[in-house]
Amino acid sequence: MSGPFTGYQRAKKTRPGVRISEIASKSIISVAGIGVIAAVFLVFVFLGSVAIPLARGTRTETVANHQELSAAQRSDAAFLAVDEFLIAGFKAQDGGRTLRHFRLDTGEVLGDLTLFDTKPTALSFTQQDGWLAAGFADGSTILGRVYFDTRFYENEDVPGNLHDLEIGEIGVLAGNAVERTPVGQLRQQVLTIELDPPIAGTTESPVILIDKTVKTSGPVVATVNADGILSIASVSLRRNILTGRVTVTTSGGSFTIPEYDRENPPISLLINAFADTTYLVWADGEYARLDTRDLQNIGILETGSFFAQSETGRRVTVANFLLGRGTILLGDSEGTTSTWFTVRNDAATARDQLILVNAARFSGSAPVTAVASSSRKRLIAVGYADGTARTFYVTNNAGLAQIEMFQSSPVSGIAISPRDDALLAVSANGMSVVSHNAPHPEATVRALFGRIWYEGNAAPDHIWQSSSGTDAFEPKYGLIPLIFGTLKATFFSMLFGVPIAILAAVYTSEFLHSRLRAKMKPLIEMMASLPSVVLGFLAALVIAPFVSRVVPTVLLSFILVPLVMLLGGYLYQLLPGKLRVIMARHRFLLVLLVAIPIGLLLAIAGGGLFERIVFAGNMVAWLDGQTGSGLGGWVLLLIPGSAAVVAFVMARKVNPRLRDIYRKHDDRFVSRMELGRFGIGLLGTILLAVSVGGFLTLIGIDSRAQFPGIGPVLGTYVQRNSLIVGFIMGFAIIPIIFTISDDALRSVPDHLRSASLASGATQWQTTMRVIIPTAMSGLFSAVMIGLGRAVGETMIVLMAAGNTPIMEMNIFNGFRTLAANIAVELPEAAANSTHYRVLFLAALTLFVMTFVVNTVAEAVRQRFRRRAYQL
Amino acid sequence: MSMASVDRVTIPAASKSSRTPRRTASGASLPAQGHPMVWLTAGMLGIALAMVIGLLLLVFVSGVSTFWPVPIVRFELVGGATHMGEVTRRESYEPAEDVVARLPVEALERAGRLLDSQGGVSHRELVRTGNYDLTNEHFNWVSDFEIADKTRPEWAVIFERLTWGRFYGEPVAFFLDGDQIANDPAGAWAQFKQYHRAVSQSRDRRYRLESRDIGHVNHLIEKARLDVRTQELRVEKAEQQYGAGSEEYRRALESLQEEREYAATIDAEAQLEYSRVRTEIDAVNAENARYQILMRISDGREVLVPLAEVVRGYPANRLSFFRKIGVYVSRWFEFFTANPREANSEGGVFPAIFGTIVMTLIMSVLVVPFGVIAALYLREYAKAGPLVSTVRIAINNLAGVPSIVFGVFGLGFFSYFLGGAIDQAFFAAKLPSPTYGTGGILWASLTLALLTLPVVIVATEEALSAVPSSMREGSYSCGASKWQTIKRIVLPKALPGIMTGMILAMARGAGEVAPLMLVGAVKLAPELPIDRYFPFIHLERSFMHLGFHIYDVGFQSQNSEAAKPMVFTTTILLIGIIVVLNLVAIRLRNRLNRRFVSSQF
Repeated sequence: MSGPFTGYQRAKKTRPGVRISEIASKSIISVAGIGVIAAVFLVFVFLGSVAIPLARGTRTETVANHQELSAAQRSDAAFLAVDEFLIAGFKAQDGGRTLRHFRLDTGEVLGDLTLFDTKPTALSFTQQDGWLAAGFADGSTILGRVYFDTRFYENEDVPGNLHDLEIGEIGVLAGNAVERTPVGQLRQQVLTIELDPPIAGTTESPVILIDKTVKTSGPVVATVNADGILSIASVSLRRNILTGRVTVTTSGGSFTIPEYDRENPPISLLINAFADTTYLVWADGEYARLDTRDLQNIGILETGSFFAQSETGRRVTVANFLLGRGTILLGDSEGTTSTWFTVRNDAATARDQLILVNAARFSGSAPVTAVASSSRKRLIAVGYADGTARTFYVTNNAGLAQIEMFQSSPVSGIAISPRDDALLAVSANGMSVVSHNAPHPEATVRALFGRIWYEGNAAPDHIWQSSSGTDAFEPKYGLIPLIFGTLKATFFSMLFGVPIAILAAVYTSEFLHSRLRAKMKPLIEMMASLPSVVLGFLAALVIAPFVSRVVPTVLLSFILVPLVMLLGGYLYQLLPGKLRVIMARHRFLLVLLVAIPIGLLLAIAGGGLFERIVFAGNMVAWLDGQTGSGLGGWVLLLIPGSAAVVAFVMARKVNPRLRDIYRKHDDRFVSRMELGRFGIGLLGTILLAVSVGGFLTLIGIDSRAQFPGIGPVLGTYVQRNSLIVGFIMGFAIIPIIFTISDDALRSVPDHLRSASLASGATQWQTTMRVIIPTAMSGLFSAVMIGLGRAVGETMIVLMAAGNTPIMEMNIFNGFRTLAANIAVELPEAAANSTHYRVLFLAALTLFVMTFVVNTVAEAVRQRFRRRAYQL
Repeated sequence: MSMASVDRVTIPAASKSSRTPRRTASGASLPAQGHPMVWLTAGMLGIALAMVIGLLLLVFVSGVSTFWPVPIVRFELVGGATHMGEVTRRESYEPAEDVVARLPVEALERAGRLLDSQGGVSHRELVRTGNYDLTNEHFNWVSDFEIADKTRPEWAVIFERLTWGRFYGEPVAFFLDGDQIANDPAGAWAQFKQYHRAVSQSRDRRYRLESRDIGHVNHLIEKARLDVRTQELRVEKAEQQYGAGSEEYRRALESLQEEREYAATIDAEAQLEYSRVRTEIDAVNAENARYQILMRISDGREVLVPLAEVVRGYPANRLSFFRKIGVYVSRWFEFFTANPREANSEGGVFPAIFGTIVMTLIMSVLVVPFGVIAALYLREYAKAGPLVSTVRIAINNLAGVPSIVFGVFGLGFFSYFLGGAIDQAFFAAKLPSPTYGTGGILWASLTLALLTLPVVIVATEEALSAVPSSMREGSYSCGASKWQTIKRIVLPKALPGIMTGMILAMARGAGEVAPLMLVGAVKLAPELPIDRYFPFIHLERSFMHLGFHIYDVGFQSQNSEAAKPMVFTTTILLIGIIVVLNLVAIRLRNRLNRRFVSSQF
């Protein structure tokens, strides 16, 4: 440590403060940074975690199996039911004369109640609303309701032995089961029986079949007696408020079943929800469908057999209605359960143009002995002779669960609990309660993406209809119409936006003066900052009403404005070379202020004529298919194609020859020839379109016809339609595509440009042969990113597309996209319901779609960038 | 660069000096220059430009002209009906045969002649006739062929009312305490002007009494009820945990008793306060009811209008230019500062402006630090490699994920999942009505923060990478640590870029509506998210938003024609905010670029 003093020795160690802040900053930034990135990916994970339970299968578990019941009583169960909270149930015994009330957990009998003094000869009961109808040997009928009434008690109100009941434990209070709720109250399920006074029959003949339906105006009862007479009566009950006496009045009609065979009477009588159609079913599969709209004039609509001719041994064992009383549920001796409903069919022989069809079929292991329909879904439970039971979701054709209910004795009765969370089955050997957890049976892959045959539809189809006013309504979760709508929106907006954006970018980067370019770009980019809600509002409330009054003019301007631009170019060529140089500087202004206005003016002037020629004078009527022929529409549709064909032919066959001729002449001649060529090309395009369109019309294909898969392309005009959406969505996608394309074109190295120009290529040739091919991948990624934006755009389509989930390619009607659908329906969907999860699945679909599209675009762009650097 | 700009002008093929049309084979022929195609590309740029400018002009013109007072026109129709009001729109149409045929005989010929001279086309005007409470109509179409007389009554007056929308009529007389103190239009109007200001002030006072003082009373009662409920829950918990005989249970019961007694006293006080305010309101109402003006409407009926009902009134056809400006300015002022009236179709948008600003600010506060930290991690700390570039691409792509998807996530995760958990833990007393378990301004801000996170990350990363590495190396060589370098050198240099990212994020956030529909924007939120009750900032409250306001007023109101002006003004406001934010961002970006050009040493 010797030597001259050179100053203070600096500490070479890092100060502890710096070191600590270094470590702290590094760890904080790393943790928080990774955390933020992880949080962003949480979006994906969370969406998935909500949607995935849709795929969860059905789980079943035997909760209780009571064998001792058989010893005490007979095995028959005319009908049976369970309460909503799975604490008690009842079953009709002794042919329906008495009702046995029991606890579900222990099977303990809470009481046997007498329903009727005499044994009924026919019974019909619906668990959903508790309505019961019974027919007797003297021809009379009794209507009533049997149901559980829920009452709540506090501890103070009940005897002391119930005070210690744990949550979920079941006890008995006054002959009815009680349960401690999670909130601590006691919930009692009181078995309530309300019977109306008997209704005397028209004859003394015993009732052999009975069914009822409850309309808003009151119940309607249908009976068949031993003499083969079908009677239908609508019943009105009037209760005297003071005395409590109920008076029953009926009105109705009857019908004698033709060729009635006393030895082989029908085994089932079914009357539908509106009481306008009644079915009679025989054991051999024969059925008759009766028109009961006018009860004074009942007639047969249709007869037939549920079975094919060859299946002689097959017998119908059970026939009942599915929820909503529109679909017949049929169990047979071969173990098959099938569903049948009427659909409209032109080939139908029945007066009402309806025909009964088989929609779904579910096979089982042994003859069907009992069926039950859920009270809230299209879910059925089927009991078989071998003691097993199966559950199915009817519309999706989906088998859910298979349960071994009893060792070998046939299932004689089966019921689904009101919340669809358990099955109750009885047999000669006893009773079995099985929990049944099918969280989302209505949303299978088939239902979401396949064609499903919903009740009343002519054929299986993709349908989205998530809610409606009635209980019996079945939600239809077909995502395909929404995906179709999304693609349709994307297609039309890309059709409009991509050419404008790309061509504008080409002009801006290759031909526009650099000073103007610096101003133009931010201006177009400003378009991107317009909030989409503003665009949607303008589209729906300003542009749509305006366009609907001038559709032909708008369509014409789509053709005329570009034509005038091209024409402008040809006319410009006619100018002498000197003038052309001077004018070139003002080219953009000329186009903007002269060509576009002229095009628009021509379109306005020619709109009426155009409508007369193409649309027979009235476009709306023409689109409805009322007037004119399909020729005009064909020409309109074929013009882009025929223009391409003509241009191709010109380039291949005409231009090489012209080139030789041009070589010998001066510009004046050439420019005139070019103008002539343009005129001939135009004429050729129209001629080609007219002749192909004429041919198509001649062979009978109308341009307004339904095309397979996509529906009509030109169809009924709706104010908020794809044309409007395509146009206004242009505002959203043009700036994006424009900016990225412009960047891509600009980043083509200048030495390529210079080399091309130096070898004598014109600027246009350089652009077409050098710049665009080099920037191709950049342009592609621009289009892809624009596509991603169009797919997910919400507010514009929500406001301007009408939001009807139909699958038609029609330019003039609306659609519903995934995004708009989510915005409309998610606020109303109950958390964790099937609907909610399906909407999350839609969001996930959207997420994945855009993510994939963007990733592809990004990858292409990165590659392009690397290549551009290498050039 | 220079090459390209020189070559902007097309060079003519033929040389000027050559007299003969002699050409070399290599010379560019006319078709090779592709003029028509160049024109087509120019045209497409023109269309894009025309679209932007046209749209902005449309919004601007419609928005700016909305509040300008227009004259009141009185139409007497040949059928005998009269309509008086403001003309809002004109259009031409082809009337159906039967419409014309239904005209009275004497007018038929004239109408036929008029239509013939116009080629079967009729011009019609949409007249805002108001007086909805009397006529059940807001608007009437008046076609040119059915007009018998068109006048501008001198004394026609327009009232903007508190309820039922606009009123058009002519003053007849003025009543004070039921006594007629003026009986001609001029006199009645003079009286109106004299008293209206005072009446308006006392009406505002009534509004304050109703909203603030009664609101305060309600707040006290509700708070006491919640305290009781909280204590009840505690008692239940004690019973479950320790049993009914335990000391804890007994103590909880005691404090419940206290709480109940306290609530009872609060209730009593509140009742007293309530009746005091009520009497005050009644007094104001009685005072206001003294002033009434008798008006004659277009069909000749005479109606008494209480002055307290009138927000603004002016004789439209007597206004001087400066008076018109006065009305115009006062309408804009009301638009910016007042609450909406008439199902949002009249009045102001103050709550929506407030909600938009508060939401955007909370969003920025959330998004900027996290976005910057994430970018710092990616750019400065993470080891560059395929993983980081994959993450980068993924984040880039997230900017392209539809905003509605983020809304779905916000609803499911923030509102239902997080909010539900918070409610269970802290707001059990209010259940089952949710506090945080539904849409609110906090969840909306968080959702938008997530949505705009990629914007901030990308912008910050760009700014960080634009800081020349020579500067970093310089700092290191002086012995600075990594964090010191970042803090003192990199971040300050990158600040304009980060600001740009923030502003772009704010612009995007302010303009988004789709996710807000799911996570908390509502059509009417009388309670602002910030008020005088503890804890002053109520992040769980739902809020109004300018963008959602546009959607709601334009699409959900029954009278969309009357609401249209409101939508246009709101639109112009929203676009204004966003354009200003964007322009600032572009400016900053340009300055940033220039600074770095000069600092490349």
